[in-house]
Amino acid sequence: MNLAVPKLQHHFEDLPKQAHAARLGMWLFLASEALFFSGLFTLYAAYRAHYPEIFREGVAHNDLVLGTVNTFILLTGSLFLSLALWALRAARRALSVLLTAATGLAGLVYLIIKATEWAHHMAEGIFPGGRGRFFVENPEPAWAIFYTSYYGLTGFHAIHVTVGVGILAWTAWWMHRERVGPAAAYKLAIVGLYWHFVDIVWLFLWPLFYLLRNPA
Amino acid sequence: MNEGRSSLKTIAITYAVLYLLVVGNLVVALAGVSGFWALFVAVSIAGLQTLVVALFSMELLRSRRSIGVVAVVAPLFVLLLVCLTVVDVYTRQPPPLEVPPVDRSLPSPPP
Amino acid sequence: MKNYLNCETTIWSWLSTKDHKRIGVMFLVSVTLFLLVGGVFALILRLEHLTPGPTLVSPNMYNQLFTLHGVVMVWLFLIPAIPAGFGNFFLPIMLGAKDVAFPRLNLASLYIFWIGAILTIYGVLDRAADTGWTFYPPYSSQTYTKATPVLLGVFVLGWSTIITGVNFITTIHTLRAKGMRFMDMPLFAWALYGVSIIQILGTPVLGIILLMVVMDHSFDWGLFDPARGGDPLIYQHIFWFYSHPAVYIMILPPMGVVSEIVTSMAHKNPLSYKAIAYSTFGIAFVGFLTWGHHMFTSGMSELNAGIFGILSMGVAVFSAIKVFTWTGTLYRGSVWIRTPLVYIFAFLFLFIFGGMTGVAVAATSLDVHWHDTYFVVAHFHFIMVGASLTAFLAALHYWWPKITGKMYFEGWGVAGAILVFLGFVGTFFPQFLLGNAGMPRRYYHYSEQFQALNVLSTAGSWVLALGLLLVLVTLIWSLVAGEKAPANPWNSRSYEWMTPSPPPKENFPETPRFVRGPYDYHLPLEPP
Repeated sequence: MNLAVPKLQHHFEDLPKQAHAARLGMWLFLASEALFFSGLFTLYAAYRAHYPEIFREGVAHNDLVLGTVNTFILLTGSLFLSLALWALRAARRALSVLLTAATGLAGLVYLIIKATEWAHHMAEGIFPGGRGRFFVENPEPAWAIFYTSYYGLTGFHAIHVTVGVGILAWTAWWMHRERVGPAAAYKLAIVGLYWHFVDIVWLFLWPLFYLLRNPA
Repeated sequence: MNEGRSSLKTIAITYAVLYLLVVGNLVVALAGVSGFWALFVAVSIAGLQTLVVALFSMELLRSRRSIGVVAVVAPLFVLLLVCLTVVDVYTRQPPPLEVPPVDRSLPSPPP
Repeated sequence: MKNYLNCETTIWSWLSTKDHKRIGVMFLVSVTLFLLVGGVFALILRLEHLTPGPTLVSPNMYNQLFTLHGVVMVWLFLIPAIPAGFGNFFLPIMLGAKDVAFPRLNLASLYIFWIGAILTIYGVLDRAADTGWTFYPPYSSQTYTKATPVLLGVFVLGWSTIITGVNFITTIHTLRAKGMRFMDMPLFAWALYGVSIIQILGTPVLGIILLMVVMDHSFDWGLFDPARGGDPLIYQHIFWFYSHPAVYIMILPPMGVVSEIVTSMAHKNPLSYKAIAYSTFGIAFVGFLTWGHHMFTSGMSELNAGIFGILSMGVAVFSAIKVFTWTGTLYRGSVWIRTPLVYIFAFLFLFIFGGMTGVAVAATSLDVHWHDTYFVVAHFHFIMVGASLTAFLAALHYWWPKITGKMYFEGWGVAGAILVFLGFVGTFFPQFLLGNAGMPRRYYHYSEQFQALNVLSTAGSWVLALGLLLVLVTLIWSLVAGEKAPANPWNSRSYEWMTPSPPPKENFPETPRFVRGPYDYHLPLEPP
């Protein structure tokens, strides 16, 4: 079998070192991403501290079913990706390509459901910045703040999912074209790091925007 | 670290735990837990899920220590920002957005 | 002999290079250009304050000028200057590596920097932002000026910084020469490590919050508008979570430069290598715990003000450790007083001055008096210009032979250093007195009683500008008429001097073997 091995760049001693550098670089980038999201989470937390009651009502107003379905979809996508990595390391490239593509597909389904939710909101007259019919009926300013932070957080997360889907599609194609073997698995692992991170962000968004809905 | 790899068994257990935690979070919410405890439980479960994903799916357990340091430090800084900001919102006196309206009328001219 | 400068000479070979040295040089040229731009803004501002009333520009233009002065100096000069310029050039050489870990990303960071710079400068040309470099809402959401391109420019510049940080940490972890442990690295590498941590963990927070202000400004989101339920203080928290540590992005690399120059010029081991290395991390971490001291008078809770006030003073402890170690290193060394060291003397003096006034404003009770006055302006200019810019100039002279292969002119160099120092003190010392007497910052007018000191400050700014111009002209002239530089003009033991000046494309003629530490001055100097 003809398995491609990644090229060693001139400034690294050996391949394991190059792989470690790539992995560390990705982790550092994810640390940066975590702090990027933390700004938005801080907005949410601080405004929830200001307006606990309306934030709770806002959460109750969101569609729990769609949100929960999306959680399962993202989690299943992650499962596919973990299996894809396992398959590539076991030198079963075809299976790995398939599973990677399936992960991307899960991301796509997630995005479609998310878009449906936004469409529902907009049909109700909820737009970012407190514009729309809904805010005429609910003039309390905290409603606008809640939905602006909702659009902000889920929007930025969706951008990350979109990027992830693109990367996954490209990776699947690359693994197929280059006939990569286990030695290149670290590259898939790095894509996986990013995807799992995006997953983690959603695991926090889900309770914050769908679960914390019960009146005291 | 290419040589070691997660067995199918590890993957199965990892995701079984993750699915269970999702269901658990949902059950707690549907059971009507509210107030501080709802927030506490929800965020704790999310944190636990993060731990599982990081340790197993992201293979932190089998990574070098330098990566572990990154993975520990970044969440600490997230917590730092969120907590100190929220503490400020809670401890401002008088409560920030309930400040009585300022009297903007001009002082009456001296007689 | 072939070196990194003459191995390829086309413009395209520069624009497409992955060589960290060329990228470093291009960063240095870019930031120097922006130093000039920001400097011209500053000169106009000072000229405006020559007289109390209108002198030169309109009130609106005054607001725009101080905004752009801040934005250009902070994000286009101070933050990238030493890490992206000298750091890129010297970090791999000091580690005995051929390049940084991700050379392509490194080049990308340069282009991202240029794109961000172009966006920001575009914002300058057309109805420039007048919000101050801090972009406080609700004003920044409502101003009629074009804040958006400047905000987006700074957002883009942030990504350049983050990439540099990721690159440096990965390089330090994976590309040290065989046998080099962490504790064998030159101290400049430690400084870059510390600064990279801040760049990675702080910059994204700024990015996201500025993006929110863009949304507020362009799409009327109203997130921070009190009239619509928003809380502007939350913006300030998130903004300063980055922007206070950003001060340490500006000061940690200069500290690394000082460590290098002090040991090289004293020809002596640092008094304590570990104290310098560890205190770098102390500053990097404590720096993240102090952001609230910018908000004492903004209505933050008293509890938070107390916490932040006390933590802020912690920075002084680590800074003091460094200052004492440097002076201790100079003591009884065989000191060569050359231009770089003259700048370092200025650095030490000005840094202590700026640092001590920093401790003073960290006390909440005193801050209430000084907040938003020229006292604060003077304080942070002592750190950012007096320390950072001075160290930048020191580094420029110290490494000039290595980068260009030519010696600068020693006499002119010292003259420039003295002019810069005198000009600086003349400009900013009066501002301490002005602030203490109650002159507020960012005001177009001031009352008559402040004029004498303002005239002094403006005159100082001319001397400072003259000094900087002299430095620029003589350095450029040295490219033409300077003597050829030897490999190691300072008899230094640090690793970058073990390679020819300028270095070959692969950094060392052959794979280097570092058999001694970078500060082992008790060992004989091996032939280069």
